[in-house]
Amino acid sequence: MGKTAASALTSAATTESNVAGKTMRALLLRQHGSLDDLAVVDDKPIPQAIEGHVVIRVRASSFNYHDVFTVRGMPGIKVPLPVVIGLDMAGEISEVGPGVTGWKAGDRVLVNPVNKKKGLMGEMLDGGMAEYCLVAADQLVAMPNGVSFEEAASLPVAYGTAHRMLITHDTVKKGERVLILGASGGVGTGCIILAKLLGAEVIACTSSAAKVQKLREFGADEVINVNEVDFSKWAVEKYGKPQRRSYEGGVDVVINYTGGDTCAASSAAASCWSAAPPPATTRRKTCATSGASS
Amino acid sequence: MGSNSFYDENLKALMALIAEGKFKPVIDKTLPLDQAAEGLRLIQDREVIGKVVVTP
Repeated sequence: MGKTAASALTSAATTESNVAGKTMRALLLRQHGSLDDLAVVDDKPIPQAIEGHVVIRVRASSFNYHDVFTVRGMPGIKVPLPVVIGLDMAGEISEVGPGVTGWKAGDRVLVNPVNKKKGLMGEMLDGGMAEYCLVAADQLVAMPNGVSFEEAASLPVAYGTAHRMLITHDTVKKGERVLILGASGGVGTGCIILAKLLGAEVIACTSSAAKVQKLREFGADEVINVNEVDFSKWAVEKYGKPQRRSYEGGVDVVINYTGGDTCAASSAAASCWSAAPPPATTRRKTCATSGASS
Repeated sequence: MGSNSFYDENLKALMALIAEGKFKPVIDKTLPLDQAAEGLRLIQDREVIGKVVVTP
């Protein structure tokens, strides 16, 4: 489909990638709706590096729940369709545009999904679920040796958020009890691993019996199936009632990026409720507070 | 703050932890582009732990 005409234009150029007019495979969202509105096409033109940008050969891209929202459409966000979805990606630079310094073809890079001028990759701009992607040079982060493309591409939205919540905001300290809601997701698994790295005692919550054992394997000291157990009552029974005028009882930190009606229960379980700030790159509602006010 | 560099620090720190062997992201499935939509369904229906990665 359209491929032959496009490739005829490029007969003079024979480099492996980024030839003007060449096409690529991409996962394209043509209209908002369900996952059935996604299609893999093979006639998406390969982007060309414009001023201040590079093109990367995407080697790995990862999904977030945000991509489900993008497919369905979110109130107030006008996505230019069709769009290649996928916020997170890593790959090699295949073409460097004019005015870009410090980067060269072949460099292994992870992409920060936030484009300062236009918004999120995979939503306002074509994202990572394609063979190639146009990326502003200031979104590039060099990948060190010892990190695979798959590992790098799994990081930005989910693990980046977890890292910001726990490390940047200095939320968790050695020896503290940390209760994590939604522990099975990308942010949640990141919080388990990072909290254990920080020396915390981790209580992971899930609504799936099948995930209980796995969460233990990833480091959780205790796992609560919230379909069977009320996590705030559990915390009070096990650790005592949180006190208003001291930091005794309950857990030390509840990590709640799920929001909704779990907020009140979070507050009831913790002596010092320090919840998650809104993730940098998602628009999901959170009960965003911090500090020891509750 | 207020620029990408703030968030870049998180990504750099995480990659450094991976390179040092201290952090391993949980990747439940790695799929080719042809199966990407199925990968997103797994996320939507909460059938995975951690991440679904696609290799286009």
